[in-house]
Amino acid sequence: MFQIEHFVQAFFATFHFQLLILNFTGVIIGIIVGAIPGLTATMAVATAIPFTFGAEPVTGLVFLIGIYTGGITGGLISATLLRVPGTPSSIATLFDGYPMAKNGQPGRALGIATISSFIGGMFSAFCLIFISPPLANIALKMGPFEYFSLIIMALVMIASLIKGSTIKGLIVAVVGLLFGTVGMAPLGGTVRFSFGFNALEGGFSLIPVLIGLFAIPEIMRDIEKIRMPMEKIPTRLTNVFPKFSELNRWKGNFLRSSITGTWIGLLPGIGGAAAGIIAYGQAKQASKHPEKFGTGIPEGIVASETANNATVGGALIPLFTMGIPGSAVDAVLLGGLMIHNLQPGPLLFQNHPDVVYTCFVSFVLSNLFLPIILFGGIRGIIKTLDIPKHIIHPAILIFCVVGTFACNNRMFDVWSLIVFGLIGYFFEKYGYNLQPFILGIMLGPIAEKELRVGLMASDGSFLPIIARPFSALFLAIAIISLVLPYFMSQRQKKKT
Amino acid sequence: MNGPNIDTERRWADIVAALIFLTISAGLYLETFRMPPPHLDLLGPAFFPRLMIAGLALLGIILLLQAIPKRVKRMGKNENLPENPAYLMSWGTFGFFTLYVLVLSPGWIHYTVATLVFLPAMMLFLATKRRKNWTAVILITLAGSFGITYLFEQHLGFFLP
Repeated sequence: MFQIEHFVQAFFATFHFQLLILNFTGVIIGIIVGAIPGLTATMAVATAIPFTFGAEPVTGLVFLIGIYTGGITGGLISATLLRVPGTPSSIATLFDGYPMAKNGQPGRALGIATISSFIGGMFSAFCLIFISPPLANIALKMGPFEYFSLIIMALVMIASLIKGSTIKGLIVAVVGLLFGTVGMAPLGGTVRFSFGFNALEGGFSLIPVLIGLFAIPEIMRDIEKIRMPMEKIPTRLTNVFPKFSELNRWKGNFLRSSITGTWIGLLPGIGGAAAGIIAYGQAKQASKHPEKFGTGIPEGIVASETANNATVGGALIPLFTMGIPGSAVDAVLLGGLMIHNLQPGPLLFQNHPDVVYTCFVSFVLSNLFLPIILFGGIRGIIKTLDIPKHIIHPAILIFCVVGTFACNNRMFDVWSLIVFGLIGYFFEKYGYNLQPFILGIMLGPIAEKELRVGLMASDGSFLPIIARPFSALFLAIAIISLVLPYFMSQRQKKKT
Repeated sequence: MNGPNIDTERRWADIVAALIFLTISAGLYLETFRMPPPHLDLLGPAFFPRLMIAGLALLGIILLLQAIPKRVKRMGKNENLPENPAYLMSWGTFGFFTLYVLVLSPGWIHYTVATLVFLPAMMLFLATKRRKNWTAVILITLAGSFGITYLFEQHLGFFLP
């Protein structure tokens, strides 16, 4: 259950000056990176992980959570001013944010988006704080077969629900699982697939994998678009703060979009972009003037930004309670926890309640910092949109090398970074989403260990996988999420 | 899922990818025979990789079958690609970056010196003719080489290549 004493301790611990500064700095970095088109929150968190390596786990995590929250929010700036979503999560924000800005109200668009992000983030933070502990209690009752099935469910859901081909999603997941088998086996310590390289005997380090997959392809893709001109709206920021009467009028939209965002965040693989679009559609349906959507109507911005920020807290619930990340950036954050020898899951609530609750309180604080930073420093942040790409990208590449090398002091990791960068680039270029890959490589060894431990306990019988209720439920959800999109597309074809 | 409405370029990419996945599956399957037999449990260290290899091979076959449809319809341009993508710049950056890592690898040149050359070269390579901001290039280069070295080696206690 919710442990009030740990929460209170964490609350006061988080107000330590150093942690506050780190959280605040993290949010600023996140907003700036999120605002720059082509750079995502995932890349920001992945590149920042090595810098937390030498710090206390809590200190590092507070910083990363700040970047994550800021990164998801920062996308609203470029979506509104450049008609390019800084992060995929802000895609629906540009439907009404850009027209409103173009109609001479960029300040109003940014103000509404900021308040909406704050409300969505806070709603999901409270869900995170109050839903996670009881869910972790339930998760504690799960055995190895349930865990194995849960990981399979998460992988299948991510593979089937992401945009694009389900087969390609599953292929990427299996390739990730295979990369996860490199190095020592979870039981018995047999070295597998090392191909004579000593460096491979311990498997791939997470840092080069994460940075390689999420930074290098992103930089290469962005450079491919370097010649594309971007039209920036002149930013005379007036009328930034929405009126209280307006906020009161949108309260239904706030609540509906917050619930939608948090719920979508809970489900692996769907993510902030879909949450924003779904909430936008709901707001349009509920509106008395649906025809005005897309012309610069505040309700559209409210729906999108509330929902995409609400996915963050929602996605952190399965991450902390069961160790299952809901999106790529959560998978990277999972890597950040694992690097500090913290294995997310129900035991984390038992063994490290200080870490868990400090992360929760930090997430609340990050959301509180959002409006302070955005309302206070929006003019400065907008100027970062002018930083040319030829300055940003080489600097990020340097950080990639330094961060990767610093983890184990070996060039092998830097070469791994390049290899995973290439893998990521080609996978994405040919329509293979990277989320299942990263989930496979991180959760594969756990899935294997749980399966083998379970089979040892059942004398080699596979029957408990389908006989135990939770395990059977997870597998049933996996099968449904695999076949449902196919039947839905068939139905859609028949209709048309 | 991708049906018969698939553009030719993507179809060939899928066929090549499927063949690569099948080849990798075969190679890795052979490699699993070098793993010792089970001694702790009934399954042993080769079971899980073989399960995944079988999965990859099966999915590779499905991808191959999907990519060889009876009716092929051209879809025109790939909408995901930017107009006139700067492949030369993107692959040039990757080449420069690989060269930079290669120079750092044997420990011939320290990070500070290598970065002092890499950063400005990279920035000037990517800059369009009108947008060469020399002050920014010099400042970022100094910060990226001397600044990072000082921060990491003196303050954070990390080594640099």
